[in-house]
Amino acid sequence: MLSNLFLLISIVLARGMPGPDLNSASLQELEALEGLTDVQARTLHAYINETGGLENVYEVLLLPGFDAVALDWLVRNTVVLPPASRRISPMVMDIMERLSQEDGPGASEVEYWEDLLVRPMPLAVATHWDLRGLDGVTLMDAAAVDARMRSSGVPGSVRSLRDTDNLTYFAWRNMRDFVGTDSSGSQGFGGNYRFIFDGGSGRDGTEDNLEGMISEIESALSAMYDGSRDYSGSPVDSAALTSQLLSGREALLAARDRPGFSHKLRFMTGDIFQAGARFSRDYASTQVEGPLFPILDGLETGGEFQTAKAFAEIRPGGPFRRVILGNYRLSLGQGLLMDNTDELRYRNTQRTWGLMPDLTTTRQHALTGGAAEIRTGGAILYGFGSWNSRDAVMNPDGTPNVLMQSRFRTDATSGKVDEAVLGGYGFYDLGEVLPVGTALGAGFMRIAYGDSLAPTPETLDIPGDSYQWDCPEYGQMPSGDAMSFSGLYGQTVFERFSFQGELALQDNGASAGLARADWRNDWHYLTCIYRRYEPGFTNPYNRGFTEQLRFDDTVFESPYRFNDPLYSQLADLPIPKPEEGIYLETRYQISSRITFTKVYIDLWRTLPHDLENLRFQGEVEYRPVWPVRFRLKYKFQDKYKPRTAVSTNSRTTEYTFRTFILPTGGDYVSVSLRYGQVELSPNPMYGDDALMDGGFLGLQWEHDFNEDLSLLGGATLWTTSGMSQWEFEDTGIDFLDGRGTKFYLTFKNVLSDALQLRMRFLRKETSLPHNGFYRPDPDDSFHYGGGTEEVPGEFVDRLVEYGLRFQLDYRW
Amino acid sequence: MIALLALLCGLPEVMWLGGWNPAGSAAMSGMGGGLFMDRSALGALENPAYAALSGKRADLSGVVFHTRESRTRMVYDSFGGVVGESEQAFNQGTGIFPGAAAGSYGGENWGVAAGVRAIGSFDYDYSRIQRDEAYVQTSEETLESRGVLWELGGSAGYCPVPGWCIGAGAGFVTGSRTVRWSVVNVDPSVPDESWEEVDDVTGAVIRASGDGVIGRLRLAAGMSMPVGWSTSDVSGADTGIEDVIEINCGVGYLPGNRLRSVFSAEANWRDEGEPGLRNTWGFRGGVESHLPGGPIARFGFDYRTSPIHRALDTVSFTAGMGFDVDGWLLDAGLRLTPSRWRQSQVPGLPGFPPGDSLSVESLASTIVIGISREFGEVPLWR
Repeated sequence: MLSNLFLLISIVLARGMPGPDLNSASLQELEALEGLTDVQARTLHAYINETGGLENVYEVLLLPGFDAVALDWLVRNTVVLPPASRRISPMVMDIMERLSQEDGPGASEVEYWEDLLVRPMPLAVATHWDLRGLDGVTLMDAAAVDARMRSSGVPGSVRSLRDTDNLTYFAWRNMRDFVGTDSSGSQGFGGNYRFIFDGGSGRDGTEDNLEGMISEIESALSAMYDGSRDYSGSPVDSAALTSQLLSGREALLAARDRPGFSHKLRFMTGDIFQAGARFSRDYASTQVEGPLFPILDGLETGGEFQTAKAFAEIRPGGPFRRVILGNYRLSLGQGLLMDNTDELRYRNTQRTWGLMPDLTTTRQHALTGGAAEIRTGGAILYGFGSWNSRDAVMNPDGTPNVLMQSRFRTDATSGKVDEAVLGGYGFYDLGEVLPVGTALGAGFMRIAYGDSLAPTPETLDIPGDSYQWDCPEYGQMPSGDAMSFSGLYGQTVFERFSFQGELALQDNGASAGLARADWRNDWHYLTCIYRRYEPGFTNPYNRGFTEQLRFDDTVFESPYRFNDPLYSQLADLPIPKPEEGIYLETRYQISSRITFTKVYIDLWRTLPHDLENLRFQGEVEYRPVWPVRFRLKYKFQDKYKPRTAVSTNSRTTEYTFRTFILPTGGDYVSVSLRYGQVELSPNPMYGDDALMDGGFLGLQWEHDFNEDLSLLGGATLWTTSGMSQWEFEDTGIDFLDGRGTKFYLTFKNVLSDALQLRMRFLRKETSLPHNGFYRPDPDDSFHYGGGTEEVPGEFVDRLVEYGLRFQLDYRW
Repeated sequence: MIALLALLCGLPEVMWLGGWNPAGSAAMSGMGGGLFMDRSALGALENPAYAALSGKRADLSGVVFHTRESRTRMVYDSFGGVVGESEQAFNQGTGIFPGAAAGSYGGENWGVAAGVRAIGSFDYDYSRIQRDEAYVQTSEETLESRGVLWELGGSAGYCPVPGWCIGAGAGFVTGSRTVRWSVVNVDPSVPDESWEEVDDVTGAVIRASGDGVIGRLRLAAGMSMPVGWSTSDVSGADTGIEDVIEINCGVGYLPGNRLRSVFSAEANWRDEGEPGLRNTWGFRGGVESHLPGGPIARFGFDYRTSPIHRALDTVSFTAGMGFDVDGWLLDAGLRLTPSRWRQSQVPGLPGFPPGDSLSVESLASTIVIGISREFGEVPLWR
């Protein structure tokens, strides 16, 4: 705004001055200037073209061939109007990096915020329903702004929102980049295109990665061939299973080193219409024949795209706030009834709200069809319908066993069940008679499947093995060809307090409930969340606050327990574990130097097994001088894992020391040191190892050459003894195992508001020593593959991984 | 074509060529290693239209390369489960290599360029010590490959309309490759084995291209066609190699910012022609920016498909710096090409039993160092 004002003043002043503006003059106009030679004119024109324009006329002295005489002539006979400044692109990169933060937002939230950076939300039409989905803006903050606008009208500038009653400084600072006061709307044609080349993240060396899954399938095939599995009396046909394993193995082998990419295009005409499409696949993804758009039959992609999405959105005005055809995201209430993403982040206390287009990587839970948001009077109504095919484990009789979200999709499970979703959620805003932010809501949703779901353990479980099937989380997965849900929602705000609650009921009588209270000011906040999800509540779109996924700590974490190890991917199903718990979180800035940045405790009980668990984390920051900060974090978790006879216990203790230093204006250095240990219930089968530990030392340095170009480098050394570590890098989370080192470099270059580039290179080396290979029994010996006669000795498995990612963003 | 030469030895070309790409300028090697959008005398040999844009200029570049290669085999337990990967052989080598030299001369709207450049290297070393169950050495297997493929070329470019240029060029290609393989057994009663092959390669290439500037965008397209390529071994027997056309296109973008950034990207496609080979394509791009204080920073990436198998496709990361020292342009570019492939993905290689779990991991690191000098005025439409 200020730069535009300055530009306007400059133009006005320029009209009273002789001569052309050098920055906007053509080559011919510069050559026509009496005070410049043709060579000087060309040099100046090339320089202006390369740099975007002169900051001031004295800059010409930096150019070859220019002297004081030329400068003096230019000063007297020309003007220089400085080029317009930019603001959008660096902020998009900053938002993207939020993905790497511990307990940070999900990818869908980040995409939503990126869109708002480009097209800020007009305050004139924004209510607390819209504002609460912004990064770092709570219901209380959103209601504070809404209340002010209801009483005083739309402010003249976002800056003037700062003095809004009950609006925290933190929320205002976060909000100001996503909202605008320009209510005239955008009239032109605009859009953006993002291309990503994904040559691997370098973070694939985990147990459930591609190689691990190939190994598990090969073990299963080996067992099938040598007859150590007996399927007589089982509904599973061993020949069909062998064929399925072979097919799965082939699909996974073909996925090795398969580069990923993403094309995402959006365009819009004014504020009335926008449309977009995304075609992408992840690195090392399997190739599965699937419909391009699930709603359309017969249009095949050949499996090149893992995700193919498109949408068209129209905002007709009047009560119809927006209508979306194609793929859309709907997140309402506390996410118990409807929040359709493929990710569920642990302890997520902030969620987006409302209806929006969906071009994220979400596939299994993508909604494809139509949805509308209607606002009339105090009522807000959302109606939605979706028709899609879903991945599912199939029973031998051809019926679907259970819906499954999987990283490695194969023909055995992909697109097996048709799903139709119809529903609506309505809210009534009571802000005219009660405090602004007060509302009640009710919703209903029905999910119908093309075939009747029939969860049958025999399809999954290896017959006759040592494991006795006991998984109540699986046992209560949905059966039948339809299920319906209803929901009730309420919220209110009183000055600096807010209360929210949602109750969802399934037609089988099971329920899920969540109640939340918040209080906050500029220095301090308190959040309290109570939740209870009954085991029979199996809404696939439930993304409520949780400490665990439904199949965490179950047999689904052990691929070797399944007829097809790929079935174990059910562990990734992003719905909460049946649990009851209370969560308390606070932040408290004691002084300008000492802040408890985040302290929380979660006490929860896993309902299927009635096991009590506890997790506590506290972090304190000390800032002796402004550019230096020290943080000490302590984490303790006491968790029980169900076992057939007696539950086992793990106690995790973790210490993290971090320091952040800004030695100069353009540098940022951080050092992290972590040590953690896990105390386990001793198990004689595994040598009675009761204690595992591990830790790492990480260094990260970022240098900004200027606001448009920066280089980020990092290195980590780690050593673990059974306890693997998680590290939060620049745009993702890495899993550290064994011993190892890694380094990475990230270039970020904003070429203009239209074009920005980001490239990342990573090298990671993990060493896993293997010894104790002596086996006197030849039938029990270790061996190489391929029939070689050599016998392996002790060795160190060195896993070297490289990550390369290139991203290009173009806007117009 | 290079891939075909590699196949003759029974080794994938990613090992065969070491993964480096020295034929371009050091500056472009930091921006993804593109040859086609390089507006220098060296670049004019690949994109003849740029002979009209490179002005009076001389370019010289050299290459330092380092290759690390690790060969591992899967270790299984008695249940068939994978325990890990055990390293069977580890090879690394460092070398200095002449890159290219070229010069250009021209006027307001025309120019010519000539030079010599290495367009391929066959340097590769492999050794492996074989041991018995008691870890006692039984034999050593070695493979040594040497050779360079050179091109002596020239180009001419002309700009009939300001901002729009066309060009044509040709090059004569020659080189040789020597491969030696041996197994030396510790037990003198077991005879040693060895094998050697020497091949010469000759041929020619003709090229044509065009370039145009639209606002801040630069667009270029061109094609090259090998003519009369053949190989001959020590017996003198000639073997013809099918001539295939390569199509190139590129885009440059001058955003106009305080860093004086330049974005460049290019793609190529080639019909390999030979039975059993895949048609190939590649994409590379990068950006350079002038840092406060004078130096130039560059970074980019390069993706190339392999004519043999998808497992041999390569992705490279590049970065570079440039300095202007009293009119001499000093550039350095680093290129890192990691690669990982499995023997089972590239069947038919000699020396490996079917079903072998051998996998090969390599990292080819290349530093291209260049020095350039411009004489006189820089062409208007560069």
